[in-house]
Amino acid sequence: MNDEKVEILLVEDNPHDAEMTIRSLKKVNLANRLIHLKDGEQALDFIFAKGMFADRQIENKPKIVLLDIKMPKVDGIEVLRQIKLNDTTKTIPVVIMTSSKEEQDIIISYDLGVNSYVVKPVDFESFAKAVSQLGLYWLITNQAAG
Amino acid sequence: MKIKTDGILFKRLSIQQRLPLLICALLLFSIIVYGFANYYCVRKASLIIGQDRLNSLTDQMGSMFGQSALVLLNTANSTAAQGAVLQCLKSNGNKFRKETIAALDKLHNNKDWISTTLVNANGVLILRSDSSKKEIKINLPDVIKQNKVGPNSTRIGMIYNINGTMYYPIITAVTEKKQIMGYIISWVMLSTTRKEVTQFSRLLGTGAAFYIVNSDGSLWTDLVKPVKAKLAGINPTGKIMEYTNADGKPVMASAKNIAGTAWLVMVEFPKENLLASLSNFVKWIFGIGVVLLAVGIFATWMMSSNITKPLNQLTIAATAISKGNYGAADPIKVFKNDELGKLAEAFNTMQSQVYRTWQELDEKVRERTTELRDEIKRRKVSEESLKVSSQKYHQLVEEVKDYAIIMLDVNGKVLVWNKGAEKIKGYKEDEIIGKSFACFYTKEDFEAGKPQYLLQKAAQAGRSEDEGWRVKKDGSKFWANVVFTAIYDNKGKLSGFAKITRDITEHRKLEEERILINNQLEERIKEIAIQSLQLETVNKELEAFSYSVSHDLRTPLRAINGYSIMLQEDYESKLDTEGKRILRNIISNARMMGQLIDDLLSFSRLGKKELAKTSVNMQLLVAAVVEELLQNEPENKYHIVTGTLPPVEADPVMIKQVMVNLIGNAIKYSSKKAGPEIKIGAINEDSNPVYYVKDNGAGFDMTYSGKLFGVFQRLHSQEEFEGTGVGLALVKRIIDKHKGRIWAEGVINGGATFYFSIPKN
Repeated sequence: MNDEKVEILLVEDNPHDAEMTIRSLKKVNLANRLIHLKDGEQALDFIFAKGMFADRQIENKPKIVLLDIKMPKVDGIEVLRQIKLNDTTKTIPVVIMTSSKEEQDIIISYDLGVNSYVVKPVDFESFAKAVSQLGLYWLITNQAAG
Repeated sequence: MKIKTDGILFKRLSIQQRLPLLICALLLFSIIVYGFANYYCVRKASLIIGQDRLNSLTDQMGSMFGQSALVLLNTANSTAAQGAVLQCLKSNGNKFRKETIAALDKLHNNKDWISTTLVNANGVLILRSDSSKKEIKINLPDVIKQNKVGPNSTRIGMIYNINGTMYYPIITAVTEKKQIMGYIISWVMLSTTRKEVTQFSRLLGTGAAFYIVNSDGSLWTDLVKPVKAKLAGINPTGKIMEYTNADGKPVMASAKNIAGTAWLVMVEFPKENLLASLSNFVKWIFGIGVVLLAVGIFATWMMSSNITKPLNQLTIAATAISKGNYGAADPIKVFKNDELGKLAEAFNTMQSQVYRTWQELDEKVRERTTELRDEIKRRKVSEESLKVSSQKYHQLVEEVKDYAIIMLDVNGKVLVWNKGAEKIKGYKEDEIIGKSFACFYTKEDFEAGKPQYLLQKAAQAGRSEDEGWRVKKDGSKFWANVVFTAIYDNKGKLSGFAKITRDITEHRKLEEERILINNQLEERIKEIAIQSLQLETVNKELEAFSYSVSHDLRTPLRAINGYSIMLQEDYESKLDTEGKRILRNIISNARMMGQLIDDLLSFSRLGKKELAKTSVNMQLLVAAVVEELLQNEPENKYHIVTGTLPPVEADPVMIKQVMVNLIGNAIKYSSKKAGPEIKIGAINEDSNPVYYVKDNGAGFDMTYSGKLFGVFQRLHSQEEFEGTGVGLALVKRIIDKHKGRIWAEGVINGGATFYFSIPKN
């Protein structure tokens, strides 16, 4: 996939959660320009055009980042911090997706400047609905932020 | 007047006698000191004058003799200078003999000029003058040796006593080219008469004498005959010599060398001549002293009688007063306006005042005596009453039963023993009186010296106190509180001790129990602290656990649910009815489990959440909750009525959860009714409102109302009504956290009402 056209960056280590997310986005035709990365380290390499993504242009920012919190190596909170600390990347909308309603996680995320927040419900339908709504909102109605 | 008076005798004398005596002694002393000082000064001056005179006389004599010697010497010198004399000597008397003898003869122009000889350098006779009257028999080489004459010079030699006549040589050196070739020796007789010498001595002064002495001291002469040596050594420098002469008189002398001779002249003065004026001076001084003394004695006698007369009067008057005769004495006559006059005047004033004071004092003494007599009467009365009260006091002390009141003597022996003491200690009065109080102490205390220590402490500090075991007569022990008080007699001397003992064994038991309980309590508190620490650890572990549960348990569940739905969406058409049913059950169970996990998590999270109390508008809150809940209920069949709801002081998030759960339950449990009705309201709106939610649904059996609020406790089956059994437990926990109260009323199929109230602050 040509990374210049990437609109959605999904960072999720759990393949089942990733599959369900991608399926929900497909249903509303949003998965065409999606890239799925398995952990925080890969995500940072992609966003800041380094490591395995060194030949990428940093200016080609994704339209939205869907970020899981609990991940190996670098967790979602750290990825969020680095995106929001960098002047070039801080305008990228970031949506945190988490399995828990742990208040501590939510508070830290908002402190770091997260744009939205989704608690992954057990109920797949609700999840699919939430994900597709989020994708639509940020990609279509909130173009200006990109 | 007797001057040398011994001390005691002197002290016995009156002032009138003592004063002149003292002044006379003083006067005499100064006269003596003054006289002696003057005597020594004058004596010293006289001696100095005498010495000066002596010195100048000696000088004059020396130079006078020297002058006459010079005449003799010149003559001799010119003779020796004649060439014939030298030639004669050189030829050993063979040549120019005649001419030489002629020259030597010329020297004999005086009757005292006895003989002239020419000798060679060794003193060997060469020739003798023809006119020599007689030969002087003397060893000439010795004479040359004794009288050292230098080249080209002449000298008068020492005086020699030859057979009672004194001769002296005039020796002239015959010199050629500074070499002595020989000597001309002329012998002259010393032939001065006594008369001449006496006349000469008179010129010197009364009593003065003079002597010619060979410079080696070998011969002394008064020019008439040889005399005995006056001194052993003689100093020819003019220094004054003092000695006692042959007559035993102290004399002064001065000596000088006579130029050109081997002689000294010495002048001798008797000291008394020099000090004659001094004795006159002393006589004068003594005379003046005696006169002064006489005048002084007379003057002081007059003065002292003048002073002592009024003093004697004063003495008589004062003696009279000292004997107690205050008023009798006549005033002292005042003669003068001097110190004594003033003293007399002051004495008179004093005497009159003393008399007046004495009179006043006498009167006061009389008054006081009367008062004292009254006082003694009064004291007698009060002593009587004291005796009565003392008896009463004794009775009181004796009858006190709960306190042992004991009097001890200074050594701790029991003097007084009351009934309380008997009751507490077991001894009867007649058993214990006279015995030491130490027998009440345990063996250990006694050996440690405690009884003595407590007494000593009381004696020093006035009081001592102790608590400890004491022994009764029967040997049993009791715990006692003891107070010792030192008692002093009216002179302030320690006379004994009061000892008060109380049996506080019971009190002590209680105290010990209390301490025991306290200790146990402390132990408990420590345990609880440890437990709460452990609890805290457990809580933390629980938090970690719940975090883990919320993430990790939900994730696989979500996958089960998600894939089931995918299966349903993609492959439903390929499943038969049974397959579809099973799939549906999988989905609903997965959901159910998700719900359970969520509920449990919120329930446990509530435990650690802090209350953030504020005033909550219940009216608005309930309206919002109702609207939210009805969104999930597409059938608009519920008739919900909300009454007036006063605001509540609570955590808004938590109180919303309460209302969601209660109203949610009401909807759920009335959902199967044909006309579900729900009423939300408050009783006792003003003071402490009780909120309620009432429905007409399934209701419950009041028998099980106790289980309503337990976790996972349900009164309905899953098939009747879905639920996890956490909802009401959560509500109860929130209300408890607010220190409020919740209860419910219900009838099976007759609906249920839930009440709660939250106290203000």
